Amino acid sequence: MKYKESVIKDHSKMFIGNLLVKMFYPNILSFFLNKVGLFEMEERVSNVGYRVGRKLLKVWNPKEKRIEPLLKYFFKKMWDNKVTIRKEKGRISLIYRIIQKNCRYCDPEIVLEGVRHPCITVLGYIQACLEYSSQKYSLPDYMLKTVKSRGSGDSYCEYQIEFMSA
Amino acid sequence: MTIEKLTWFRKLLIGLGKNLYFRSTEKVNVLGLGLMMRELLRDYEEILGSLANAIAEFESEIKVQAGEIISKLISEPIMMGISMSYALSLDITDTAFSTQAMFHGMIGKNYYKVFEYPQLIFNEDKSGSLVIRMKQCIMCAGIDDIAKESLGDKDYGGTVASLFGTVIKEAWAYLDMPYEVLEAKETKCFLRGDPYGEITILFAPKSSKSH
Repeated sequence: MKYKESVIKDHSKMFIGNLLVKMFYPNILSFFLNKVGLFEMEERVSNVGYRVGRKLLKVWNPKEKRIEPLLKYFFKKMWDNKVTIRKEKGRISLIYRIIQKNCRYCDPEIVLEGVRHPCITVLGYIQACLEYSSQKYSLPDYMLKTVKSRGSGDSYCEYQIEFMSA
Repeated sequence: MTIEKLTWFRKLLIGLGKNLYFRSTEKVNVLGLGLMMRELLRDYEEILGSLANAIAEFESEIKVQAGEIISKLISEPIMMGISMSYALSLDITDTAFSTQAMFHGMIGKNYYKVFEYPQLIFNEDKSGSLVIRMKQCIMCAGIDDIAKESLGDKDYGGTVASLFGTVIKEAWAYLDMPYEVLEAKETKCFLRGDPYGEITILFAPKSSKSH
């Protein structure tokens, strides 16, 4: 058991080429699309991201629980990737725009008919981060959505967290 | 351009290149990848009725997709105008080195923690096997909820075995080697209680029909 734990710790710090993901992710989306339709496909892949994100955060156990640095930490540890986060404060809401230029799931060369945002699974990871953050900070109600995806023709991927009555 | 045998100098360059390639390539966390596969299989299982069916579906998707992508990777430049074919030669005994270089390019210096040096074993009839042993399994390390009975006749690492087999198959097809890959399978698995993971790629001289 101790051996397994140490292997998990090891693997949680290791990286592997993303080729596998780029190779099979479109097939996975197609599988869900054919079997359960667009709406459920989006829900399922987003949920996969959420479950994986939760488990990873449990292993990494970062001390940082503020949303912005936590998201940056997560993207770095999960995809060795930097993201830009823009904060926009409105009268009744606070919006975080998370922008990544080289999303690990989108392949601009592969367009899946009917799929608006191929990298929707990332929303699940973001949701897991928000849940982790809420262990320390009480978060207002929020809405999560994918705004742009390289896989559907945009020049970058953008995810949005909108906190109501912030 | 294909060469007869990898020289020590070429091996030295490949050694440097694999590290550079790993640094510059897009990456994903190893535990994250393993967990992603497990969670996806959970959804596949819900839709297809059993874990064995889910693994079979995953494997068949890999077989369809991998050949095309890998053959592209072998022939098209991946870094500084150099393609993966730079690490290949017509000498079958170089296969172990080429395989090791490829894994190193995929996982970086952690290669030594995860893999053992691949073994090329020949039989008397010139058929043989390439045996890839893993000290830690990159696919199942984070998994504790699969009973070996639920795997049925399927192997959890069958998808990875298929992928490795396809790499060798496409490399040999590119080189027009007089050998063919017969089967790639997982022969040892941590989830089945083995002390290490192992993938075996069986090969044989091309039959006159396929030659």
